[in-house]
Amino acid sequence: MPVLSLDTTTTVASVAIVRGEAVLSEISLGMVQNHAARLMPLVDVALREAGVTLAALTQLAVSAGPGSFTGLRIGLSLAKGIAEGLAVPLVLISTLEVLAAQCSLHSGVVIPLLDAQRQAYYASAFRVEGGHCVRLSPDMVVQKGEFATWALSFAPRALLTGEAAIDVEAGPHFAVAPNFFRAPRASVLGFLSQGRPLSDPRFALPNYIRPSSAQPKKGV
Amino acid sequence: MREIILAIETSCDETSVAVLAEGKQVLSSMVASQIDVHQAYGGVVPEIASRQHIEHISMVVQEALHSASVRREELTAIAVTHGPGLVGALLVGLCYAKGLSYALGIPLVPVHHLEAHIYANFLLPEPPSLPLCGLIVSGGHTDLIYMPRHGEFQLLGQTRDDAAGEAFDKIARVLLLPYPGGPHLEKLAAHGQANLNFPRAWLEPGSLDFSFSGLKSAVINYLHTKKQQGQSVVAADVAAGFQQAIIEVLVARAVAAAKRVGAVNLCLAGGVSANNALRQALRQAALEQKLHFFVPESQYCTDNAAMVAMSAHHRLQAGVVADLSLNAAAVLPMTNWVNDHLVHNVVDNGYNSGKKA
Ligand SMILES: [Zn+2]
Repeated sequence: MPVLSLDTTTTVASVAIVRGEAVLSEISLGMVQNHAARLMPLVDVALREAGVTLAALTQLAVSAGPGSFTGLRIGLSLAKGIAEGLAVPLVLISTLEVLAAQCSLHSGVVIPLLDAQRQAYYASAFRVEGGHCVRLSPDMVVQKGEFATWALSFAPRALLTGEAAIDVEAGPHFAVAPNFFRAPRASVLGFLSQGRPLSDPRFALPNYIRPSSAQPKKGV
Repeated sequence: MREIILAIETSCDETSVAVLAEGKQVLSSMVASQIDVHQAYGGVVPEIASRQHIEHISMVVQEALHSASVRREELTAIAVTHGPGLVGALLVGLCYAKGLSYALGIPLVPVHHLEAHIYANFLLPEPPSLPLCGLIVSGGHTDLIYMPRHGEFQLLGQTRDDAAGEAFDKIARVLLLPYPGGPHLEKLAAHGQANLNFPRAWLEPGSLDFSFSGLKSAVINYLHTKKQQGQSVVAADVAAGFQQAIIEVLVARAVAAAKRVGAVNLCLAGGVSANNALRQALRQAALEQKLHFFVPESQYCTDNAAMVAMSAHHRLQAGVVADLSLNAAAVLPMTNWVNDHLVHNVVDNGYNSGKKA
């Protein structure tokens, strides 16, 4: 039961084919400016290298967000197109959960952070124990100025991960995960998706968390 | 095999999907408009447009297939607008189309939005013959195009400042008309007299370009002056005078362009071509000049996917298909694809023939 998974919510584009416990293929590109141009060729290569045909796929997994609005729409639109074309379901997984799961060797509280611009992070907290992640908070927007107080409400010390983790100074309260853990990897997304509730791709929507910043005009 | 193209268009604020058979028969043409959503903002908000597209695209595709009585497996190509337009909005349609064509193992045909507007004329029961001269008027463009054959486009003239549709929208706003302004301005103008003589910018002799910013300023100044003098204005007359000024220039330039290149076919296209006064004026002028005049049915004047499918049909005939790395572009010049050796067919029968038995 191979799964095709993809994530374009950050500056990394990652695509993988996993089956059961095995990673059949995984490709990640860093510092990607043009996810829309890069993603489809990556999917094609990942399938070829895994020796998996599209017809063999039973489900797709895609990052639901949070992350770059455009980035997550690129991933989800492409996943919808493939899933609807193949008539297979989609599984949506939080980008932050993928990042937390990548720190499952840790024991304690893990907080993934992504840049939400306007002086804020997308963040959530997880308790990691024995290789399992338990969610302590929903995915949310946390103002940078309020971050320390918010994080300390879960534990006196936390491991930070994700692209924005280096923003926060390590110290008595915070450790920062090594750089090779901080980018979301599609294989982890694929593993997490196994056994999760399946979505109808037609109704799958991004989890922006934030509304569009546009303000309605008065009197129009 | 019967050619059946499914086309997707998401360049601005309409999520549109159409199914076209054999380059002739529009089996379905669906448009999910976002006008209501953007009305509160007084214009299209790109981020909101993109969100609306991803929310609606699957259902619009499904409705288009259903109403065409076509199954996904019967499709022979997917077409998509890849520019110009709002990038975030384009990307939703583009990425969805890429995924769908890849999964179905059928070609993806990239389509230029303005080219598609011209191709809306080929949806007519009696389409134009070539060569033709096309006037594209929309919110973002005012272009005169010479098209000697399919896949070859020459830009004869364009606006140097505002697009005609943009000028319509701006004047509609100062006249306090609801969004979208163009159609409301046309309705108002129908009740007025074009007795106010607003300026026409003819530019240097021989030019086929346009300029509408002077006209726009003149109308705004007129309204300001009247207000300062405490005099009332007849809004309908202002609308009529403004519309008349725009139409006069558009018509004269379009006829001059057709004459210059020796095309007997004159086509009107783009959102503003839904304007009846413009259609009538250009039809009349064409008749006087012994030109054959074409204008799409009004449902194919505004953004729609049927025109994208028609354009794709002709591209497909010439073997023009996209590769997997196709991207969206906010700015995209019209290119001649008829002898374009850069494009190549990447669809093969290996890993992307995902059709289930
Ligand atoms: Zn248009």
